[in-house]
Amino acid sequence: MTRRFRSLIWATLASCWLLGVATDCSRGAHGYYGTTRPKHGPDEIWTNLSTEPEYIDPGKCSDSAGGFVIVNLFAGLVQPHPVTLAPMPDLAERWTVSPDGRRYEFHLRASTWSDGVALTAHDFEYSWKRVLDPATASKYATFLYPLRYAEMFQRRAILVRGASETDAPALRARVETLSPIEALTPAPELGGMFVLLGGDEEGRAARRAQVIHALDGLTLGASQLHAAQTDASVVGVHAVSDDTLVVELETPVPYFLYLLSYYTAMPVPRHVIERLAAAGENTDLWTRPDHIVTNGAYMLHEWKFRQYAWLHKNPSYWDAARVRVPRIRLAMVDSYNTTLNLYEAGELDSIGPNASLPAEFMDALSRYRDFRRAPALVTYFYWFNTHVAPVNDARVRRALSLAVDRQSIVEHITRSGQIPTADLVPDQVGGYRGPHSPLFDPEAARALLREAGYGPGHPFPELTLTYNTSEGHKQIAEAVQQMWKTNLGVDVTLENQEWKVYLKTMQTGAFQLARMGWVGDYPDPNTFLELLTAHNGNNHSGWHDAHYDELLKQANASVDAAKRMVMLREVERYMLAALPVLPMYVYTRSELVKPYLMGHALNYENRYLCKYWWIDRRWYDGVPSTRMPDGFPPEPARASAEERH
Amino acid sequence: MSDVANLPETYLRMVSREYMRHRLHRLSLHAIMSLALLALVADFVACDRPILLSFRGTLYLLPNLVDPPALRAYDNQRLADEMNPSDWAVFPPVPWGYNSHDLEAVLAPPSAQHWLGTDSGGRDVLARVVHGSRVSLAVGVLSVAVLVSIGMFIGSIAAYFGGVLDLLLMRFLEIVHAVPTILVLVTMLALIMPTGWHSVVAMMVVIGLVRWTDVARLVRGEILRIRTMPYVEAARALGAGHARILLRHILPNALAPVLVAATFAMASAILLEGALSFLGFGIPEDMASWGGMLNDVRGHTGAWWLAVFPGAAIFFTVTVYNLAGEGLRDAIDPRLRA
Amino acid sequence: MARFILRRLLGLLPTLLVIIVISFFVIRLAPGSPFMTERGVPPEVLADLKAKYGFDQPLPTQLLRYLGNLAHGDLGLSTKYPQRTVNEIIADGFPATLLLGTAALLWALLLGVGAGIVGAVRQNTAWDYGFMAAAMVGISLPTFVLGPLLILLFALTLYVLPPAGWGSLRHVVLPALTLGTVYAAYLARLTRGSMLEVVRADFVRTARAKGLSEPAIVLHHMLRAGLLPVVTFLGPAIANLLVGSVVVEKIFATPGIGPYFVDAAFNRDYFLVMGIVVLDSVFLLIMNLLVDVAYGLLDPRIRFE
Repeated sequence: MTRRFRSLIWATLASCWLLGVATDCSRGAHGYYGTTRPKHGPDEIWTNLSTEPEYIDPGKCSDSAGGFVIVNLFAGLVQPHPVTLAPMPDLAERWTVSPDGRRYEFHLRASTWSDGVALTAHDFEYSWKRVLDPATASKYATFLYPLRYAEMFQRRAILVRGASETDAPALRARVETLSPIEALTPAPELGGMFVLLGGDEEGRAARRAQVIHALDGLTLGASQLHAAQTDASVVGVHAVSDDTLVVELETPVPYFLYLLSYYTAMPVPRHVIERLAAAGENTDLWTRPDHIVTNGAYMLHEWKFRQYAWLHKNPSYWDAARVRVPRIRLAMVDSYNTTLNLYEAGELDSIGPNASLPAEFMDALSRYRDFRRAPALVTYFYWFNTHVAPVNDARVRRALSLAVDRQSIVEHITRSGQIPTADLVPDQVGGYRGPHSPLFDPEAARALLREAGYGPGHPFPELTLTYNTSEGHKQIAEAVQQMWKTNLGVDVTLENQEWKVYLKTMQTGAFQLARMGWVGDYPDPNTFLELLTAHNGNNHSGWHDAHYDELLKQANASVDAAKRMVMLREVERYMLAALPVLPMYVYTRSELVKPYLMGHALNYENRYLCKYWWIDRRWYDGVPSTRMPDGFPPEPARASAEERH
Repeated sequence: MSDVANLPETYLRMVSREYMRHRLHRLSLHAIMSLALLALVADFVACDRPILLSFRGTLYLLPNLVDPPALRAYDNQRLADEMNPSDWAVFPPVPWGYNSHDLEAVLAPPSAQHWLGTDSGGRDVLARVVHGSRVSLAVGVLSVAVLVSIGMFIGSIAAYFGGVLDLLLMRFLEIVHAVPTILVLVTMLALIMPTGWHSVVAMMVVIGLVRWTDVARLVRGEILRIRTMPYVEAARALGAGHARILLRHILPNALAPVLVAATFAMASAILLEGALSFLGFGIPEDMASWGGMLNDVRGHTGAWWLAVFPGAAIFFTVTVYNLAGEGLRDAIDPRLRA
Repeated sequence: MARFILRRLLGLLPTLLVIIVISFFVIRLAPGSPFMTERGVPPEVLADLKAKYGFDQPLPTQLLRYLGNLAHGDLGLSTKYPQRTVNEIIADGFPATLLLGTAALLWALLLGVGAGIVGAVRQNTAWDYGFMAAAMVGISLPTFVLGPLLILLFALTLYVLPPAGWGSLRHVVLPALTLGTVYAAYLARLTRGSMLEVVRADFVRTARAKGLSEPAIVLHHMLRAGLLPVVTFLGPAIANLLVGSVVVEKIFATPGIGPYFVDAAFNRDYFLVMGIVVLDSVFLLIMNLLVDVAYGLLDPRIRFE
């Protein structure tokens, strides 16, 4: 029997030893992580998509893996600069903007789809209206909401022609007998008003039909009404000729061109979709390799579900001369451990835009020469539910915020070079200078708590902090728990929830404090500040401040970019005084890129533009001592393609 | 009436004598009892508060258990720093709580301060291993209690009454067996959204609710065998009722194999908890559980102490339960007796 | 016997139906919806999405429609991969899972039954102790520890096998070893145990007295009777292997169907969840039936009624 025992012990010891040996062995040479000799020829690059995309249809996509594929398959009116993301001409050769900033005229260059069919301004009009068409059910249609009446079209508002603003009370009274109203918006250019129904989502379609029936033909005051569901014709995008696209905005949008470089605004091949529809097939399938037609730098050559995809160079892309690598292989490996192993073995040239490395690796990985890091357009913060005591008191919220040692969190917990911040907007975004709120002041925090009336006689009630199940969120929450206990004597219960449950909790507001990471949609402060406006569906704080909304609107109406940034800072300062959020830090994006992969830039949006990629062939023979220039295009001067009248 | 009920008792005594004959089995039993003891006194072994404290003129009794409000902002380290010469304290041997973060020592290898190192949150691995024994014990005991009770109930009813009832129950068993455990777990946990110890309870009850089928089969088989034995016939002839025959004459004899199954089920429940934590839903993360700690290893292959110590704890516990189960089986199966 | 099998097969249908109905309601009970995302979606869009999948209908109607489609072999549309049907997703992933499961099973049988026989025949020798200790380690060693260990050793230290991925037989080795080892450990102990039961049985003594060679006794007499418990174990084990392992397929990035078990439930991808449940229970029920049949073939005392 002792023998049996001894073999057990030996087996245990052997496993420990194995683990130790395997982890101690040095990886790679010359300070690089793993092999530095490409495993494939110079006409291929292998990277990782991490996961099977949900959609690679520009109009329907809302996932980052899909976005990665789309921006390399399709070309829009403008394209982002690979480093700074500043909009540069793509299919639009040049454009003009009206003095009030509400009308854009784009002039398209001659180009074709990959099947040779000409691509015209009509394709853009079709594609954008398709995104906004409620039947498409696009989750990212909000990107095109700046277009005039876009939201009314997508949300099936009822357009009541013949009603003027003076009729609004009577109209409201009439409609409310049938259905709750979410909004009643005047549309003077159309000689009428929009009625956006509210209430239960289930019965909305039936109630809409009822309201239309009741209003159509009704005489209100002096005029007869014509009511109908809003159709696509009113949306502010029109192809006036094959090469001219006119876009009308509801209000001036200073960051509009940024939005157009986003994948949602990319064209889809109408002729392919309509061919499928005519054949009675599911039109969703147009992005399958056997149907898909693209207009960007690459074409979809092969797609192996959840395994890999091959992109091949598109010879009919207007800028094909600049595309240097004929073939791109996209793996779909989601475990970061596996990804790292594959990268180390040279089976991946970069770990890919969606692979997130766990913090624990960072210390070790950041010492390698192929490690890269850049700030991301993401702020990590906690929502306060401002309707619930005790965090309905701004002093309490500020006290809690000042008692969080953010520096310590990014140094000890997240450890990926995150930037600690007590502001919501990442500093330097689009030239923005934030208010730089104080990061940590436990003394002031305790004073604020006393001011709010908490003390020995009136102990602070226990708080609950909710987050979605994840190792990273948990570690931060635990550190914050400890900090509040030490600095304020405040006890916090941690509650983790599965993702879908968590989303539900956020929507119903059944929380006190909840964590959030907000990803900016475009490099402009507005994408963060807008989050806290009253009508924003993602504002889970319950903090609704009409003055704030007005300040933000005024700032955005400013045509002078520099002045606008100053105004936005005041807007943010105003919000931070009430503090419906507890900002923690700005994310960074860390990446491993083989030294031979050139033209690969890390940018704010984590956008991978394969058309700039190429391979430095010297790495086939050894380790070169110098690094060649990446060969990025020059940063566009702001007015190069844009003429202001 | 000859009291056949005495039989199982002597039988059990015989089994236990047989079991204790082997040193390895004896050792495994001692190990199980030590683990239970460790779980019981975990707060005295590893805690971020002293066991006894005299601080600024106040004597605190067992602050490690009662959490006095006045000491809320203090842990062992801060107390040690701020104690006057007249203050004194009895610190636990491991002066760290299972959830207290030492942010100066994140992912630190084993040292004099942290004997088994720290995890990515700067938490003491030893403290977490010690407190993890609670979760794993609770996990095992609860789920096994649930699955054994259900299994025995259904198995014995099916076997004893037989016929249509047996057929229906066995079909039911087949269905329960085929509904995927993970599916039920995801739904149940999302539904009740338990926190803290509640989720340990919830998860293990759920596991018990879907995993009783093996015990039911076993009990059914045993009873089918015992039911036809002469002494049961005798009891029936003497006019004993169903319940009495089942509870006093049949079940006790079917108990020994169930005990074996229960011991193995303990081991597999502990492993299952680890696997569930690995998949991202299991014991809440601010509790110490070996499975959850092992899950951390995925992120830091360099920190061998994170893999080795909780891994060894699971390995050790599972092994002793398996050994005990084996010993028990050898002891009750006379054919294997040398 | 054909009649027995046919009758049992027919008997499986109601069982399967009940499993489907229970699972259908269980997954719908969980809070959350497949279309919920961090970014709010206008309610009108949500309504359209629901209508597309028929989620706007009352649950019983949805169930009936699902069962109707299922009868035609149509498992429905995935919400997570909207351009794929569940049939396609399963057809895409199943070959990988099947290959991995078969390889793991072979490894488990070879090692497990082999070690078990040696352990029983050479009871209380160093071989016996060695194998049984190794089996004990195997049972107590979770796949999520064993997998990374094997990767570290074979892929990143010795550079003999790829760390993960799919495409060649070399990719199958490590995941199959990881997946099969636990089963091998159980099989080893089970085989040893049941072989020990027959090692002193009368018919073995008779065979030995007849002067048969030891290998012949082991192979012809002992193994046949000793394999009964092994077969009982193998039935559900094979079913489990065929529907894939969540953990192993995740570690090795195997493009099989294993991870859907968890991922689809988390994503509330209702039809994919149901597809996996259907597949899983069909396998399990059929394997259980095969176990019963195998019993009859292996044990002459059992007769099919």
